[in-house]
This record gives sequence, structure tokens and C-alpha cells, in this order.
Amino acid sequence: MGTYRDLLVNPRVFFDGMFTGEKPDLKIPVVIVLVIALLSGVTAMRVSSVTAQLMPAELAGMGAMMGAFGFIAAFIMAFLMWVIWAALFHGISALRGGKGSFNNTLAVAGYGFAPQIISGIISAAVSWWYFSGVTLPVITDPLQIQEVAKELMAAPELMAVSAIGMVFYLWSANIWIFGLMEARRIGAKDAAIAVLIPFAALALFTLWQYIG
Amino acid sequence: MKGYSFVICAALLLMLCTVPAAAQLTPAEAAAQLAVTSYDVEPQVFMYKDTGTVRVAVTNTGEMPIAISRVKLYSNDLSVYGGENYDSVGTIGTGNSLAFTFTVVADTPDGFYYPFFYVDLRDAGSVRYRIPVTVDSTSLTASVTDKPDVFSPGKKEQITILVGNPRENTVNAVEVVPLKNGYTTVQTASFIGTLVPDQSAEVTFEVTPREETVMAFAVRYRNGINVHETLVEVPVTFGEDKKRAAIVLNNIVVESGGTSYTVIGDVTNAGLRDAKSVIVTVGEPGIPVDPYRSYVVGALEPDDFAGFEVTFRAEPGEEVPLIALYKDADGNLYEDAIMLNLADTAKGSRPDSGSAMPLIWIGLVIVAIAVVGGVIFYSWKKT
Repeated sequence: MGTYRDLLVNPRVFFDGMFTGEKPDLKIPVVIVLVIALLSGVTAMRVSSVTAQLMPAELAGMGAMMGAFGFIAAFIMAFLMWVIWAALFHGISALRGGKGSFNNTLAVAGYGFAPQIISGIISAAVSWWYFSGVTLPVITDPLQIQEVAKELMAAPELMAVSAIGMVFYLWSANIWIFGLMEARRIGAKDAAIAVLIPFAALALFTLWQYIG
Repeated sequence: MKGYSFVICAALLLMLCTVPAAAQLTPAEAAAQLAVTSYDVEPQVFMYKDTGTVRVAVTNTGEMPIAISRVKLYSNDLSVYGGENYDSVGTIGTGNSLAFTFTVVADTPDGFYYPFFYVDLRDAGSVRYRIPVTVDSTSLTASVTDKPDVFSPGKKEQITILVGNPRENTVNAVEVVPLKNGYTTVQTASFIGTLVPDQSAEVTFEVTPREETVMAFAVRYRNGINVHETLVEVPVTFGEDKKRAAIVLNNIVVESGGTSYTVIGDVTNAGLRDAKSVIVTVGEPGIPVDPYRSYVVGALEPDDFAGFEVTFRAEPGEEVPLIALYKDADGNLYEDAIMLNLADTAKGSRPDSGSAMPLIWIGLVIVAIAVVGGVIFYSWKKT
């Protein structure tokens, strides 16, 4: 098993021999996911509290509550996505002849989120900076809130951050491929299929959010 | 006894000699006792086609009653009526007077006329007397002494008219009546009353012109019982009142916040009169929204200014009129506007730094792609 630097730039060396034991060590993957959950929570809290200002006066006071709610939701969603990604990898790789426990796949999925820490830091920083200078209109028609929020999120800064996030997801996908090869004892091609199918779905979904 | 009788006879003879000869007056003597003591011509000066009266009074200045057969007023120029009333008059006692009134119509050109008054005495000739009657058709003068330089449609202004009497007699019931041909007035008429010769009077009207026309006023008056009228005209031309309030909107800043815009600025009264009830708002295609659909500034004196803030919704790139509404002292509504070009307004609240911002972020994405691509390439190359 290699160093954490190998995790990022030479994942084959990092995952080599990791899954020979009975159960993999999930402490590090949990920490990685925890950091990402915290970063996601901070970003979501910032966006939620700003969005609350679009509400009519009688609801605008709920900004703090909405921010907390956003943090908790994003925090939980991070762990949930970890499990969902692992389940997708495990299921598709099983169709490709993969063998091994779900814990192995869970560990690989968790390690693969490491580059998301960097993109999470970037996203949190840009969100704080952007929304700290935004002047929101007063909206009296609740039906306009979604429209205004959509326009706010369509800012070039936020779109650029989202694009950088997808690039870092590509980096994560690369780590997952190498990880699955070791954890599921499958070839590179099968591992790539198992990773790139859900990755492509994510990419299309992200693209559709901006184009749709 | 004989001398006493002589005295009595002489006295009787003397009495007979002194019996007044009046019981035996000659025609000339009788006419001389009848005097025309006064005459009245009403109106004192006729106008063409006026109807009036000539009243002549005669007095018996003698000591014997005088019998009058008839009285007439003759004229070759004026039309005289009522003479049949005096075809049989009667006797006028000593010291008594009689007045005879005739109706006269001046259907003659201007000039001096002398109808003669004729008294036919039953027992002694006649008496004739010339009555001077003047006909002068000069009407009253009317002129405009004060009016605004230009009129504005629907705006109330004051007009002053001077009426003068150039005639030699007094006229009555003088009034000025606006004919309201293309304009309205607060006053329906203005009554002056009597104007003696060379007297004048001023009347003022508050007029509101509706169209460019010639405003006509009628000066009506009575000369005796005769009603006359003269017109005075005031041409109306519309133009801009140089003294009216003029609202100027400046120091305009438009800020965008999502789907609505906020415009702040100053409104100044650059005119010479007060602007009342000044309100700032936007017109179509802009749609005013809360919290400041329209901003009430109130009254602005000349050279006074105030700030305003208006919020509205519009599509980016549209031209929206920013409108200032205000009224004058009479309640007439005015509107001044400037166009807001929303194409120059940054969408969102971040200052528009032009294309530099997107290029920076595009550059960061490219850098990220390069870094990640390089890492992935390196990881597979190691394999």
C-alpha cells in the first residue's frame, strides 16, 4: 500500500495489497467523507441562508433555520452519496464478474472522494465570496423565488466552480477505477465500465441542470 | 249837486278807459304768453335706429287762459310717433304748464336734427319751437389690457378688458359677457353699470382655452331703452409657458437585483413656478413593483430638489421611461420623462467587469483540466 500522495497521483500503488485481509480499514474513508460532508454543509448553509432572503418578509426571518437545515441536509447527503456510489460500483462490477465484499467497494468509494476535498474547498470559498456581495430583490410572488434562485445560480462564477467540480470528479473516477480493479479483482476495462456509467449519468445530470 | 255828478261821470269814464285790453288780445299777443319752458331728449344722444322720447313743456305766462287746439312734433328726418295724442288739448290756465311727449326713432345717419314743436292756439295763431336732437352711433370702446404671452390648452389664465365711453351721453347697464367660443371661464359675465362720458372700467376674466381660436367677449350696454353690443377679440396661440415648473431627473443610478431593478436619483424643479404633487414612477414596458412602485416627492419650489427611489420589473435590454408627474396651482397635470436603457445595467448585483470575469474563470477551469488530465495520464503511464 502506498502513501496518500500515491492515492492522488498513483492510485494503483496505493491500492496494491489493500484488500488481502478480511475487512478493509474504513477509518480513513470515513474521515475523507466527513471532511467532504463538512465542506458541503458549509456551502449549502451559505446558499440556503441567502435564498431565504428572497422569501416574503414574513418568512425572511427563517434564514438561520434554513441555513442550518441546508447544512444538515448536505452533511447527510454526502454520506448517502458515498453509499450510493459504492452500491452502483458494486452492482455494475458484479455484472462484469467482480468478486469481493461490499466493504471493499465502500472503502474504494471513500478513498476515491479524496480529490473532492480540494474541489469542496474551492466551492465553499467561491460561494461565500459570491453570495456575500449579492443584492437580492424583494419578491412578493412566491412563484418567482425559484426563478430568481435559478438566475442567481446561473452566475458565471458558480458555473465555473461547478465545471471544476466535474473535472475533479474525473480525478475521483480515475482513483475508483484503480481501486475497483484491486477490490473487485476485475480488469481495467471492466472497472472503467463500472465507474464511468454512473459518472456519465452524473455529468449528464449536471449538464442538464444548466441547459434545461 | 251838479259838480258831484260831474265827478261821478268822469270816474266812470276813466274806469272804462282803463279796462284791460286783454279781453280783446291779438293772435300775436296770445302766442307771446305761451312759452316753451323746457324740453328733454332721451336718450340725450341717439344712436342709429334708437328709439327715444322728446318731451316739451309749455307754460302760460300771461294773465288769461289760452286755448290750445292741438300740439305736434314735425320732422322730415326723424320718425315721430304719438302726435295723435295731442290732437285736442284744451285750455291752459294762467301760470300753468303742460308737457307733451313724443316717441322718436332715429332712423337717420349721424348728425344734428331739429324737429319743430308746433302748438296750434285755438283763438290766436300758433307757437313753434325747434328741438335739437343729436344722432351719434359711436359705440363703446373695448380693449385688452392684460393677457399672458402664450396660452396652454386647459390651463387657466387671466385676461383684463378695459371698456370706455367715448360718447357724449351716459350709457347704462354696461356688462361684459364671454362668448365661450373655444374656451371656458369662471365668470359668466361681469357687470360694470353706468359709464358717464369719458369714463372707463376694467374687468378681469379667468379663461381656460381649449383650442387655438379667437376668444370673443361681448360688451353690452343700453342707450336709453336701446340695447347695443360691441365685440372685443383676443387671439389665442398655444405655446410653452416659459414660467411654468420644469422637472429635471438627474443623478440616475440603476441597480439590478435578480428580476427587478431599483433606480435612484434626484428630481429638480428648474422652472419659475412651484411644482405640486411631484410623483416619480416608471412607465411601460417597465412594471412598478414593491416596495417603491411610485415615489411621492410632494411640492418642489423653483430650484428645489429631492431624492427618489423607484423599483420596477423589466426585461434586460429594454428601454423603460422614468416619468415625473406634477401639477400646477390650478391642478393641471404635467409629465416629464427620460428613458432608462437597461442594456447597460449589470445583471445581478456584482459589478459588471465586462468579459474579464468569465475569462478568468474559464482559465481556472482549463488549468483544472490540465492538472487533472496530467495526473490521470501520469497514473496510467506508471501502469
